[in-house]
Amino acid sequence: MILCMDFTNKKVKIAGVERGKKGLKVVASLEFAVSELTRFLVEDLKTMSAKVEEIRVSGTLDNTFHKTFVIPDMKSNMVKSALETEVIKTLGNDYQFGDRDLGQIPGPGNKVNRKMMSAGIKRNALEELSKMFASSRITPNLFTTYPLALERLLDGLGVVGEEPLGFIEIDYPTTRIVIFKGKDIRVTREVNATEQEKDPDRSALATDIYRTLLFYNEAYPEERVNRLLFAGSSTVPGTVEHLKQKTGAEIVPFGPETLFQGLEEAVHIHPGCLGLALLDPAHFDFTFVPFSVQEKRKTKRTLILTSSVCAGILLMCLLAISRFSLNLKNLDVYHKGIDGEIRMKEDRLRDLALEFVSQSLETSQPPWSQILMELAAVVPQGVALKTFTLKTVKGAWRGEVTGVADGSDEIKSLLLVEQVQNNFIQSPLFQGVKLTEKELQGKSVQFKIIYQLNM
Amino acid sequence: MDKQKIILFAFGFLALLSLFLGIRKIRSIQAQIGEEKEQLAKSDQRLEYVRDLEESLELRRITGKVLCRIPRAKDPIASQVLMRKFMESFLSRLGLEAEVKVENERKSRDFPDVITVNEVPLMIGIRNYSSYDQVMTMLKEFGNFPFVVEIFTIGGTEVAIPGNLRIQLKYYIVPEAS
Repeated sequence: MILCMDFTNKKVKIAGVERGKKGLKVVASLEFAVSELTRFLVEDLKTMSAKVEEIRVSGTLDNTFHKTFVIPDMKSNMVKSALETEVIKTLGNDYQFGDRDLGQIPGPGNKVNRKMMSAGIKRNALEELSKMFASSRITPNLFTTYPLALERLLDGLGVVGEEPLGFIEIDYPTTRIVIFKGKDIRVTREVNATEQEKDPDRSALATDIYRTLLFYNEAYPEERVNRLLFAGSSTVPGTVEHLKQKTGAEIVPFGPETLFQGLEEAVHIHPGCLGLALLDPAHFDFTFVPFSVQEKRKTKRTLILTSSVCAGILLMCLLAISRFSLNLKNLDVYHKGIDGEIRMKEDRLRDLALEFVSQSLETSQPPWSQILMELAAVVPQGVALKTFTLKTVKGAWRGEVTGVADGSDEIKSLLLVEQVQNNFIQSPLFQGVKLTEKELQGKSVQFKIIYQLNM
Repeated sequence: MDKQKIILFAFGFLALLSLFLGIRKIRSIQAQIGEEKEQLAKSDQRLEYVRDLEESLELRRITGKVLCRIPRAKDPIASQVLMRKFMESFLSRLGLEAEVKVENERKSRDFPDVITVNEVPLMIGIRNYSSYDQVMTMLKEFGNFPFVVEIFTIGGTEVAIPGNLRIQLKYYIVPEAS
């Protein structure tokens, strides 16, 4: 449900409009003093809040302006900038305003001008209006002016044309008059009506309305308001007849029933509220947003953006962590699998211990017969080996031989030792051969050779 | 400071903090992954080795020769005596007069932990031998038993037992198999 609220000077007019398959339907129609608004928002709205989707508000005519400016035709952004300057120059800098392009009009000479309608509301008035909803769970999403809402309704009813049209909503204690010419809102006025007891035939009110029409004629001498449209709960036939006779204007019937259902049952018919319900906020040029709401929205946007970025970073980190953790887990599982297989193999190896020993013996033992044969071969005649040793040291077979070379003289003995050494060196079974001791004892030579087995 | 700046600052700080902590955690996991990969490579190597060993040992079980074993008793001292006697008679059968010393059985360190093999250190001192052939026959006969020669010396004194030819060797015992 769209809750449309139209603020007049001392009253709030409310219409609840639902969008149905058959169109718009007025489901609630109220009016009460502004002072009761808080109670309505806190108590009554609470019972309705489940149904209320949005709130649209039109402010009082006070503190608003509707004015058409003629700007030299330029690029759109320049026109907007010129219009802004013009509005500030004419009305001051206190307004929040919007604009609407009413098209080109011929200017002096060959120049072309652009007609721009601007409407605005005082910033502090907008703030005050917004503050009224501080206690409400649902806050308005659209603030605009009464004539703009009304214009939408009349546009919907098809009564706005090129001829000026005076719309008069006769109501107690405030009667509102708006004069339209096409899309242009020419005059807006609020007239305080006296109590019906003091002015039973509403002649004083009719005079005030007539004066407004005269004012229009003075402001726009070439134009006359030839059509009048009356609405409002305090409208009496006498007033209408009186004005018809005085102005000679045509009375245009007000029939919002063509656009809205449920009006027959409605206690009050609020044209401003009906206009608000017809507005399309996305394509409406005059949606005013209070500065505090703008700030809130900006803060909310910043909050959403920064928290999204933060959440994004957090998510990325979490994804990366979970991915790497998964990799680690997979590796761990794979590793455990391999370790299990190793354990199984090792268990199996326990059963093969004898084979292991057998293999180890084959690979670790030197070819003894070959060694002894080779030893016999490397010792020439005249040399006697005293000792022959072979032992394993850190997996390698190291050995030494000691002996005596006995030639016919010292030289021959030394030569014999050299021959023994050479024979050891040349043997494929020995490596790292070194003659470590050589001692002459008379004609014979005692020697010691160390070697390593070449396996 | 307005609300937006506070929000920006707070969330900026939060984002940086999450980024910092996240990167730290990721680095720590990556380090663990690196470590795990290293361990995995070692395990892979070990598996490869064990697999190859198992294959070759299986093949040996089918095709290899059967090693003879020296009779043993439940009592260690009796086993020691049995082994000495066996060695003396074994050598005597080869025509070698020898002295044999048998030490206590102990766990062998020549094999990986996965295989439990014990060893009995032996020292043989042969007083005399007629030829190299006799020695070679003896060494060849050793090959039929789980003997491994550690020191072989002719005329040397490296093995603490009297004799012209001294041998220090080990006799391997597989406890479950014996």
